Amino acid sequence: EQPPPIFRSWRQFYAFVLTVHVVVIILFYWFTKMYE
Amino acid sequence: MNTLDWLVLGGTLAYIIGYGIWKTRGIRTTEDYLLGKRELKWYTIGLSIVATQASAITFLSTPGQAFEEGMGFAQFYFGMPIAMVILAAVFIPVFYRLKVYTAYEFLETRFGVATRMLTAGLFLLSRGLAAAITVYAPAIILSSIMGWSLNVTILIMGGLVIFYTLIGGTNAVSQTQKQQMIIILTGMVIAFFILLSLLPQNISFNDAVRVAGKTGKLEVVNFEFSWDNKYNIWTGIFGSTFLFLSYFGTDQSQVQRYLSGKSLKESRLGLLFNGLFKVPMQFCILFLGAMIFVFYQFEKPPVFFNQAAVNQIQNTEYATQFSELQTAHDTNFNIKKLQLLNLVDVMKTGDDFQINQAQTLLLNTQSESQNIKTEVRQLIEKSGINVKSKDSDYVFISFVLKYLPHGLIGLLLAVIFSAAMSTTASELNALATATTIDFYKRGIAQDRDDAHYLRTSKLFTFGWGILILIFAASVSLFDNLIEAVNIVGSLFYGTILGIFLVAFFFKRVGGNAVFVAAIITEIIVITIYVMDRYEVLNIAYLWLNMIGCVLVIGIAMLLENMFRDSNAVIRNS
Repeated sequence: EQPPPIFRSWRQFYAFVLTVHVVVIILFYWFTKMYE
Repeated sequence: MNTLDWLVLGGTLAYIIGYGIWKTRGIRTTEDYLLGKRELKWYTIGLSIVATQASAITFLSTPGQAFEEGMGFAQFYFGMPIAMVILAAVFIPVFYRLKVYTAYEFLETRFGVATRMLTAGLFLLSRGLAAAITVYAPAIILSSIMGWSLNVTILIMGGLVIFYTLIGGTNAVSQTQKQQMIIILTGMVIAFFILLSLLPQNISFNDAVRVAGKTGKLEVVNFEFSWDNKYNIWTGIFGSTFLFLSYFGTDQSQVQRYLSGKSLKESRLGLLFNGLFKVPMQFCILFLGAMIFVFYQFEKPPVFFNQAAVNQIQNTEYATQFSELQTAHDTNFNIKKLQLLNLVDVMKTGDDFQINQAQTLLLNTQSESQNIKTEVRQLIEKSGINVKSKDSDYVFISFVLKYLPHGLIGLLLAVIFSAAMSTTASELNALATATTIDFYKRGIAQDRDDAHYLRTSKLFTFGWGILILIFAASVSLFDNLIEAVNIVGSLFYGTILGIFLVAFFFKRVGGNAVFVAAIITEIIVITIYVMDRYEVLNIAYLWLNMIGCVLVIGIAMLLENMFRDSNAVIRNS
């Protein structure tokens, strides 16, 4: 089935989802360090 | 609660149920009823998945958890997006290709009917009990704090769910969940902004966040690994990936949510939306709890949030001891408030030495405050009062009832009701589906017409609904039943996931090997749990899922090789 718009394949979309997740974890880590 | 609150609460619930029933007119076939005509878009599926997982306890307990222990619980969800990607790539395409109603139906195509019945039976047992807890847990907190009758609260919550799930089937569940999530998110955002407006004039938002940080409430990410600590990044990523694979991939109450999608693409997007949405959502709920903690540093909190228990102890022989602790708590609060204002002042100077000094003083007073609270809890237990629920579960609802304006109190109670009902509706719907498809249609009445199965699924929906109500009303008769139900669920989850992963990834393993492997694994997992219980081992229960799953795969492959070798020996001889 067609991947979501602007993505060439589902695999690329999964990589995007996991990248966003890693960025969120890094932001949480920064938040923890910033206010400890 | 005044008339306005009752109107908001009643109006919100009536609107949601009316909308759900109106949107799902014209159900003619069993497929319409159990798979909702397969017409849902990704955002409805996504919100429906989130609403199914987020029960009332999510919104009652999570802020209280941050209030007590800080925001580390957010790490529990770090495995979610990983699990969602695996499910979207591997599980959903197979479910779609086989056009199954339940996840267990797929197992029959791989391993035969025994494995299907085993997994569907375990689902009915653990989810049937868990659904009762979904209703009971918020009902006991609401009945205690609002002075309502427990059984009437259970009856209203459960009765409304049975009403719209019975009439509209799966689609009514998904449509109401979309509305319920909108109510829930709106209510929580409003509560957050009102909380910020209640902070003292001289404390800015940034001051409040820094105070929460200095008092140790904002440690979201913890890299220290230990087997018995469930909130660190490693347990979060590895342990919870297995838990969420089990829950979203093999638990019919979730599988049914995405099987009703319009296409494979919509279902995948719905699951991935859930993966990305849930982590920030939990972060926000926990952050709300951390801000409630800061608020209660400037506004005196009760020494014990469960007011019903406080009223009870004041009529016992322990009343004098309790009032001494209350006085100690008041004194401690006044000292802590002065130290905190001092900390806020020195933070503005930026002098690290002074900041550390002020922080150390504050943390000492803070730990004295904890000791007083522990003594109060022990005194309440000693007096024989059964509080049924952790005191931190009462933190958020106490704040709402005391500090929110009328009208919004009704809205926040609608949030709690909506969250409980959205989860229960999915559970009820899935229990009826698995009973109809995996047991009745497969084993009892195989070749009847569609109208017969439609009637039967409605009958099973009603039957399970009544059972859930009876279970929920009798929970309070047993001590520690909630914990027992959660344990039963987690003891089977890993094994069931192992069976599914063998089905997807190890094509050469047959039904006999996997069935025997599942039984052996379950014995090992229960043994590990018992050893943990008696402190021979020390292991967080999240790891049991991973251990169970890996053992099933390993033992099944070993057995398959043994069966093949012995067959070869027999053939050769």
